[in-house]
Amino acid sequence: MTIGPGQFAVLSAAVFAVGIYGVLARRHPLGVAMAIGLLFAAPVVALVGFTHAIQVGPASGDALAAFTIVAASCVCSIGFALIVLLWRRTGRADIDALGDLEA
Amino acid sequence: MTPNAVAFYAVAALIVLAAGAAVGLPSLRSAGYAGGAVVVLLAVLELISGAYELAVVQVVVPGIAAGGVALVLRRDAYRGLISGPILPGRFWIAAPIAIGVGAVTVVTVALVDAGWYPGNTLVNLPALVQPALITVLHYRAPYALAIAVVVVAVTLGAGLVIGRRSGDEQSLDQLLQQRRQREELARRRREDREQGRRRPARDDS
Repeated sequence: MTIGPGQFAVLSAAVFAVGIYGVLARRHPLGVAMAIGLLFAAPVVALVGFTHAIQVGPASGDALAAFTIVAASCVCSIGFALIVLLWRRTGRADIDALGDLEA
Repeated sequence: MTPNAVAFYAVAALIVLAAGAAVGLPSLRSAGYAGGAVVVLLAVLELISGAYELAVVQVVVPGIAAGGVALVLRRDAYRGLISGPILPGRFWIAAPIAIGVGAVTVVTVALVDAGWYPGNTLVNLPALVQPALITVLHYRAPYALAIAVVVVAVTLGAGLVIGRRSGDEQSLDQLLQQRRQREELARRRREDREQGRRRPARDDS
């Protein structure tokens, strides 16, 4: 039994669905940031599968996957900075506290 | 390199379990550990798939980001951020949407299966186009690396600007600290005075 890009794509879809659940269900901003990290992890899984389960051409998908990992870390870092700012301004760790912020 | 089937399915099951724990566990600390497990398991998946360099990037880059987050959370001012009250999740909204999206994507990609094979497109292209496309793909890696470095630099700057305490906030924190100290001092004096009043009363009795 061989593993092809289809299996990687199914795993990617499953991870993406779990990430969507986390983004919608979590109310703590750190939990939401982690779920967004999962959303970014899903395409990495797919890219690895498309690149390495198929023996064709240069592994250019790895470059894209590496860039996705860096982008995910950057997005989560900026999100964390915003969470810290939210915590200092409102004293609450709740996504709903964003609505209480004034411009 | 095509991964071993048994290893792939074992790691895939663990990834889904860890991801579920990362979004489902009520304790943020435990969820953070589960998130770390997801990162490590993704690196293992990349290792068994033959993407060795990517596995290193997968562990190192999020590890640096997580280290920075941990350093900030260790400070007293932000301890409450992670140990705050557990808020009830909105699973009645999230679960149907996630199940719907998951079902659609899983069924779609499962049906496509071998259709993901991109080599057909590359091979069937005219001979004139093929070298140009391969050149673009070949030089994608340095471009991605250069853009990634720029993104990291911008993130560092933006994160520091957003997360830093402004002068107003620092002076406000100092004022609040002084107020707390004054209140504490006044409370101690009040208690001392009350104790001083009680002592003669006890002596009289």
